[in-house]
This record gives sequence, structure tokens and C-alpha cells, in this order.
Amino acid sequence: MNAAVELFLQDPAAPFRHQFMLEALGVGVLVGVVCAMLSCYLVLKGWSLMGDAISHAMLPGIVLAYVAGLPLSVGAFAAGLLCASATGFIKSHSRVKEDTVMGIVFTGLFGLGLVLFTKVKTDVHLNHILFGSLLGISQSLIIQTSVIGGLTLLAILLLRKDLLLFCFDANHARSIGLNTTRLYYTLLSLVALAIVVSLQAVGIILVMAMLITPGCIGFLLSHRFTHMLQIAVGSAVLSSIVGVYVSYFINGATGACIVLVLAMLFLLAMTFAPRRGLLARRFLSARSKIRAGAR
Amino acid sequence: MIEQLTIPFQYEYMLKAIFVSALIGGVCAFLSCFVTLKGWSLMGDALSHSIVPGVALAVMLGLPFAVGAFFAGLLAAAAMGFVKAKTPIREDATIGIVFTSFFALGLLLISLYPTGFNLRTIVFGNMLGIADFDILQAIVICAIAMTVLLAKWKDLLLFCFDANQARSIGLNTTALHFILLSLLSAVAVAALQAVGACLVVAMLVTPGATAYLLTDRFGRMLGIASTMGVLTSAAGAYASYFLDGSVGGCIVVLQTTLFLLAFAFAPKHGMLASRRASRKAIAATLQEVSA
Repeated sequence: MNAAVELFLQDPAAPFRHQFMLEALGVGVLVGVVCAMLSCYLVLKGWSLMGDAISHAMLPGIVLAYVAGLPLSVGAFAAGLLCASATGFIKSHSRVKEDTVMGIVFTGLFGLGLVLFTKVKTDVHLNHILFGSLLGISQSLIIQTSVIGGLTLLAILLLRKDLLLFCFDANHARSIGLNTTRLYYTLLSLVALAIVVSLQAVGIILVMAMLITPGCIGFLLSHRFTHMLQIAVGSAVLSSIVGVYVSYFINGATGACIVLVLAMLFLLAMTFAPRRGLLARRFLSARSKIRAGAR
Repeated sequence: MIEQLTIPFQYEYMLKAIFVSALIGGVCAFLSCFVTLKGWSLMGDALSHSIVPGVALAVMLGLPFAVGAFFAGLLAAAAMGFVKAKTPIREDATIGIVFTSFFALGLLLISLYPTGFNLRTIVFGNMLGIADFDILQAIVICAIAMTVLLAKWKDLLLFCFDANQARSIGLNTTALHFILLSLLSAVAVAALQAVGACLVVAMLVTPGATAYLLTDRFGRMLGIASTMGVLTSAAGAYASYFLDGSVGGCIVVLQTTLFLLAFAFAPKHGMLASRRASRKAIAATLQEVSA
């Protein structure tokens, strides 16, 4: 720990002098923005588990894509969608609850991925896929991430009103003539794309945090969806930057640092949020008791 | 040919792996019936990830890692309960936030202080290189969990099936809630060794859900699930020898395959059976209408 502090005191701006750190920061921020936008919709829709399931299910797709010589993101995306649609199919044709089905399907695919991975000798680093690795990303991967991330962001911006209505009240959306089936699959695909983009930064297991926590922070701090989006994006970008920056000095896992900073922001929001925070609620209930006493 | 098939049994480490996997698989499967009934699948996933920092800390301090894991699991459960009670955020989101934070903390600890407990163990479990002390630990955990489950299974069943009813007939549901959480944490520790953190949830959900498709009676469900848990875990560990790798992957793929078979062909609740039933019902209605 002391070494980290010393390193920091010597040269606090050191991370910004390395090309690989700047690239890491850039990719981290992009991932933060895409995931944070989506997380607001997912929180409204109650799809928190979906991100977790889709991300785990991508492992066999990645290995198979490697074998077939396709870009890994294609395999990941296809496997993610397969997981989501298989879950939907099994759920609607059996009496098992949805979250249970999701657990079964994604672990089945993840297990298959592990078996394939140990069987097929790839030069894909399993640790990088599972836990992310922002440092030392290849140029082609940066381009790929930027293109997919940019397109996902564009799609979210274009469809933001339809998606909002769909997430907020699917029945209402249907009744005013929106195609909710198409919106359902659009949202699923967007989630899968966002995960493909984030795998590099935080890995399969922690993607879920990027897809939930920013939205929840926004939800605690604001009653208006636009504000919620802004706050979510702001907190995700901040935690990506701070996480990457801190990980340089303490020499720790980058993805974990990002997620932990995000968790701290959530704790702050939970405690100090103006109306929905712990302190505000306590203050309000104390005040109403005093008023009741005065009467 | 037959000689080749018995090769795994000639190695002591394979015999140990098969035995311990079967034991853990059986206990997890027994518990999975309660988990499926209660709808706590996400909780199983969450606890199995949340125990990682506890394990890392315990290994660093030289404690038995079951201790660290158990406390981390309970702490995570308490944190989820607290956030859920104090904020307007939905429960599944709360669970997600808490367990990813715990897991991230575990990853950070492991990356900062590399010890014997490494990332490989989290992903793959550690069945093939399991130490004798860890086997003993797993046996003790399984024995305690099974004792509690057998002693309390009726209360737990009622609690999982209908908590309000359980409360109204005078059961202490808070205690039952705590017991079930503790059982989940304890068993998750054992399962973590067998299949790794990501796949623990499969051991805690799939056998129960498969049995749920095959029968309407809880006693039978427990029997089917436990048998399936023991057999798939032993077979998975055995098969991993030939596939040259991941014990956890093999076990879980086997379990998922059985679930899919049950989903398609189960006598009453399978997809084909219900399709046949609905076709018959339509035919009967048509006959009535035409007659």
C-alpha cells in the first residue's frame, strides 16, 4: 500500500503519460456511457438478471467463433441472444419460474463454454474474457469496440422514447400501436451489444454491475428520466476514470476497481440522496413526528 | 476398451474428486428443491459470488476458508436486506449491486495479494487438486447441512411454499429465513470448490427444477433431485478425465441436458405432454360442438 502512495506522490499525472493508459481510459469511458444509458432502461424494466445471464452465456459463442475463425464479438452476440430466446421459450412452455429458467440456461451455456475452452486450444485468454483487461488492448480491438459502442449508443438515442415507454409500461406501449415484440428483441440485442463492448473492460462477471448500478444511482437521485440518464452516465464515466486511474497506482485488477468505485458512488447516493436517501427519509419521518406531536 | 474406461478409478485423485463431487452434488440438489420452490435462484448466484472476498481474506489470514466464506455470505445477505428495506430500488437490482460489489472486492484482493486461492479456483473450482483438509471441510459442511435440512425440512417446506401461512401457524419465519440463507452460504462454499463460483447456481437450481417438472409431490421431488445431483456430479467428474478438463463444466452440462430432456419429455409437465393434452382438449371440444 505504501508503495502505491509513494508512487502517487511522486507523480500523480503519471497514468496520463502512457499511451496504454490513455487508451484504457478512452475505452473505459465509452463502455461506461453505453452501459449507463442502457442501465436506466433495464432498471425500469426490472431486467437486472438479464445482463448477468446474457454475459455468462457468451463464453461458448466466443470459443466457437474462435474455432470458426469469425470475429469473437459475432459469436458472443449470437450466444447471448440464444440464451435470451431459449429462456423465453422454456419459460413459456413449462411451469418453471423465469429466473430459475434463466439460471439453468446461462449456467448450462457457461459450463459448455468451459468444457469447450479446455478442449480447444485457443490463444484467447480466459482470464481476460472473464475478468476484463483494459491494459494493452490491441488497436483492432479498440476500433471494433468503438464502432460497436458508437452504433449501440446511436440506436439507443434514436429509439429512446419508444424504449422508455416499453420499459415503463409495455401494455400502454402496445395499446398506442408500438410493436412491443420488436422492441423486446431490440432491447435484448442492445443489451447483448453493450455486453460485447464491455467484456474487454470489466469481463463477463462484472458486466452486470455496469448494467445495473449507474441506473440505480440515477433512480435514487432523480425523479425525471432525462436527469436519471445524465446522472447514470456521469457516475459511470467518473467511476471508469477513477477506477482506471487508481488501478494504475495500486496495481490491482482494473475492472474490479471500476466496479468498486461505482459501488461507492451508489453508497453515497443511498445515504445522501435528497429525497430517496437514508438521511432524507430519516429527517422527513422525524419532522412529521414532531408535527404530529405539536398538533 | 473396458480397461480404458476404468483408468480414472486407478488414480486416487480421481476417486477423491468423484466421491467429493457426488457428495456435494447430492446436498446441493437436496437444497435446490427448496431454492426452486422459494424462487431464490438469483440468491444462490449472488451468494456464490459474494463469498469470494471472504475466501480470499481467510486464505490470506491462514483461516479455514469456509469460515471466511460463510461470514462474507451472511454479510452480503444482510447488506441486500438493508439496501432493499431502505431504498425504493427493486429487489433483483439490489441483489445485483451488492453481489457484484462483493465479487469485485474479492477480485481486487486476489489481484493485490496473490495467494493459493487464485482466479482459476473461482472459475473452475479445485476438484482435481483438492487437499485432504478441504475434503474434510466439505464433508463436515455437507453433514451439518443435511442434518439441519432433515431436521427442519417440514418447516422449511412450508416457509418456501407459503411464508405467510408459515407465520400464521406460529413458525418463526425470520429464523427460517436465516437458516435457509446460512444453508445456502455454507453449501455454496462447498460447491465453489467443486464447480467454481459461476456454476454454483446450477448445482443449486437445476436438479430442483428438473425434479419439479417430473413430479407433483415434494417427497418424490427431493428423491429425484438428490439422485440426479449425485449421479450427474459423479459422472461429470468421471467424464472430465477423458475430456481433459473442467469438472464443473462437465457436471453442469450434464445437469442442463437432463433438464432439457425433462422439459421436452416429462410425462405431465413436459412440453410434448402439454401439447398433446391441449390437442386432445381441442379435439374433445370440437366433438362436443359437432355433436
